[in-house]
Amino acid sequence: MNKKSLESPYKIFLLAQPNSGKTTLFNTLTGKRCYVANWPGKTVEVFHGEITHHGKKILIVDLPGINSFKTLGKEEELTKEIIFGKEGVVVLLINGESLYRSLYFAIQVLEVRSNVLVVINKSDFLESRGIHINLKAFSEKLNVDVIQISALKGIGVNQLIDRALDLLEGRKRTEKLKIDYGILESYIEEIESLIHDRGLAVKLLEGDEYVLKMFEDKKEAIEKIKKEIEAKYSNAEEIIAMQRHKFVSDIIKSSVREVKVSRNEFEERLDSIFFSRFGFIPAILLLLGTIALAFTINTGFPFNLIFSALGLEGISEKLEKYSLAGLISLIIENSSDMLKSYIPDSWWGSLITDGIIAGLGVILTFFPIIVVVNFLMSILEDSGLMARIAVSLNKFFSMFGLTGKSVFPFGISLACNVPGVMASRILETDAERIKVALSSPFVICQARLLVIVLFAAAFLSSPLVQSLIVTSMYLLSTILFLSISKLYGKITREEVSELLLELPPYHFPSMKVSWWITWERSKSFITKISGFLLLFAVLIWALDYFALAEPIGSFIAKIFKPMGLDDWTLGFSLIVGFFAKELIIESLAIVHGTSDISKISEVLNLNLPQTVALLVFVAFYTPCAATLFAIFSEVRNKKLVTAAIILQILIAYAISFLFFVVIDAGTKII
Amino acid sequence: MKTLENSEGRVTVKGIVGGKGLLRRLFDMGIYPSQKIEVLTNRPQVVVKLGDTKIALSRGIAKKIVVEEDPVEQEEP
Repeated sequence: MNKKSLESPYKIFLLAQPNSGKTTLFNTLTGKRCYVANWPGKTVEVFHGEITHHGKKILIVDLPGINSFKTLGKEEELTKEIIFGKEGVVVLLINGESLYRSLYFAIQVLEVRSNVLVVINKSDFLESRGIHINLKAFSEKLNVDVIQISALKGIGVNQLIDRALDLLEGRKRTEKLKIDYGILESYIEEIESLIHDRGLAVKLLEGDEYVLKMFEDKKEAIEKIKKEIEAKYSNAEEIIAMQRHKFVSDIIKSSVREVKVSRNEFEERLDSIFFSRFGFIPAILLLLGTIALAFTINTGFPFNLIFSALGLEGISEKLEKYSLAGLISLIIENSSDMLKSYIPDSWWGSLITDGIIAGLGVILTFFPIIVVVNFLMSILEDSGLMARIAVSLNKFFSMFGLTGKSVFPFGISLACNVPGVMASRILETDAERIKVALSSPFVICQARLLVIVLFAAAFLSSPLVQSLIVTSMYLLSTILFLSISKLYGKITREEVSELLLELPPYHFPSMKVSWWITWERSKSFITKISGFLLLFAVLIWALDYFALAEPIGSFIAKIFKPMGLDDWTLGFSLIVGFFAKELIIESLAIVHGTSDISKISEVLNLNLPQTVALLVFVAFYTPCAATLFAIFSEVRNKKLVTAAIILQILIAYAISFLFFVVIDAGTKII
Repeated sequence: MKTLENSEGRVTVKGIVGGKGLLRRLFDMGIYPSQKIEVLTNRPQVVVKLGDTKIALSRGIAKKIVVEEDPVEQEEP
C-alpha cells in the first residue's frame, strides 16, 4: 500500500513454483489484511500483508511465482532479485503433489540463498495418498529446517512463523547447499576463486543470464572455462542438471516412503479417456457446458432461446429477467431514476447522471458477470480438469500454431476479453502469448452477446433463425480467432508453440481456493480498467451533450452505406460501442428517445441481410477500450497493437459486407 | 531411431536433440539423459509418467527425445 510498510525489519518472502499453494498460504497467513503495492523502484505489483506474531510485526511478501531459473518477464525479475539477495527470510514452498519437480527447483534456490525455510505444502494430499516423508532425513540432506504444512487447512502455519522468526532474529543460521558436481568440481572451484561464491559460480557455468550480468567483467574468463569443459566432456549445463537430478532422486529415495499403493482407478480411467483419440469430445462438452452455465446465469442465453423455441415463453422470460445482467440493469435504472429526481437540471447534473452514473453502471454490470465466469473456470482449473482439456484439445490448436493451453484464455475471453487477454500470461512462450492476446478480441464476449441477442430478437421474428444466427456467430468467432492467430504467427515469423505441460493430480475443487483465484483475476477489472471506462463515459456524454452525436454519427454512417446501414444513430452507437459494446443498445435508446427496442427497430427498419451485416460488424469490429488497454499492457508494442486493431476493423468490415452481399443475393433468388 | 514419440512402456532417455531453450524446459521437468520414464500414451499426444508426476508433450517435442525401450520385466505369476 505505502512504501513505509515495505520497510519492516522482519520480512518473509514466499517463494514457489506455480500451483504450489503459495496464494493459499499467503491468504491463510495474512487473513484479509493484504495490499497490492508497487515494489520500491519497480513497476511490478506485489501482494504483501502485515501480521503480528508474539508482539512482532512481520511483513509477508508474496513473490511472483517462477517455474524455473529462466527469467521471463519483469515480475520474475523481482523474484530473482530476492533469491540472489540477502534480505529477510525466504519461505520456500514445496508442492506435495509433485515433490520431485518442486525439489529440483528448491535445491537451486538453496544453492545460492541462505536463510531459507523449506516448507512442504499439501500435507493433507500426502496423507491421503499414504506418502510419508522423513523430515529429519530431508532436513539433513538439504542442510536447512524442513517443516510440513497444509496451507489450505491451516495446519502447521504457526510453526512456520516461529521457525521463520528464529531465522529472522538470528537464533538460527542456515548455510547454502553444496551439491557434488563430480567432474566439474575443479572448474567450479576455479570460478569460485574469481567471484568468492560457490552457488553463483555454478549458476555462471550454467549460463544464467541474471548472474552473468552481475559479473560482466569476468565474462571472458568464464567463457574460457566453459569451452574447456565442452572440449573435454560435454555441455556444462547438461552435466549440472544431471547431477542435480541425481541429488533429488537420492533425497526422495532415502526419505520418502509410500505406504499404500496410491493409484486411483477412477482417475486413471478418466485420464485414459482424456488422452485418447476421442478425448476432445468430453473436453469440448465440459468446456461448452461450463460456458453455457455461466452465460445462462449471466444473461439467460442460450437457454432462454431454447425455451422460447420450444414454445415455453414464460420460462424464457423469467430466465432473462432473473439473470445477473437483467437484475443489475434493473437496479441501476431504478437508482439512476431516483437520483435524477434529486439533482437539478443543469450541465453538471447531466454530467453526473448521464455520464458518471452511466459509466459506473457499465462497471457494475460487468463485474459480476466476469466474476461468475472466472469462478466456474477456476473450478475447472483447480480440479485438474483444465490441464486435461488443454491436452486433449492440443492437436486441434496445434493446427493453428497454438498449444492446447490457449483454450484457457480463449474460454475466459468468451466472458470478457479483458481477463482473457490477461490470462494469456499462462502461456509458456512469448510468441504464443502475443498471438493469443492480439487475436482475443475476435472472441465474442458477453457484452457483444447481449447486443447480438437483443438485435436478433428485435429484427428477426423466428426464434429458430435467431438461435441459428447467434450460434453461427460463435462458430465464425472461433474460426477467426484461430486463423488470425495463425496469421500473426506467419507475420511475426515466430516458431510454432509446442505443448509441454505438467498434469496436476485430480482433486475436488476447494471453494476457498477457487474464490481466491476468481477474486485475483476479477479485481484487475476494477483496479486497472474502471478508471479508464469512467473517463470514456464522460467523453461520450460530452459528445452527446454538445450535440456532436449527429455530425459524427452521420460521418461514420457514410462508411456503411454499401450495406444500407447509413442511419446516423447507428453510426453514433458504433462509436459509443468502442467504449463498451453493450452501450450500443443504450446509446440507440438515448438518441431515439425510447428504451423500447422494438420501436427503435421499427424506425431503423432493417431487413435480413442488413441485420446480419450489422450483427457481424458489431461482433468483430475494434476491441472495446478496456480490452485495447489490456492488450497494450500485455504486448507492449504500440506499432504491432495499432496494426492489429486496424486489421481487425478491416476484417470486420469485409466480412460484414460479404454477408450482406451473399444474403441479399440469396433472398432475392428465393 | 526410437524416440518418445514412437515407443511404449518403460523407457530410458538417451539424449535430446534440440535448442538450448527446449533443453532447459525439459531438464526442469525432469526429462534428461539417463532418466527412466513410463510412456502412458503417444497418440494423439504423448503423455508420460515420471515418478509421481504426469507430463504431456506435443509429438513435435517428443520426436526430439531419443530413448531406449527397457527390457520387459517378467511378471511374477
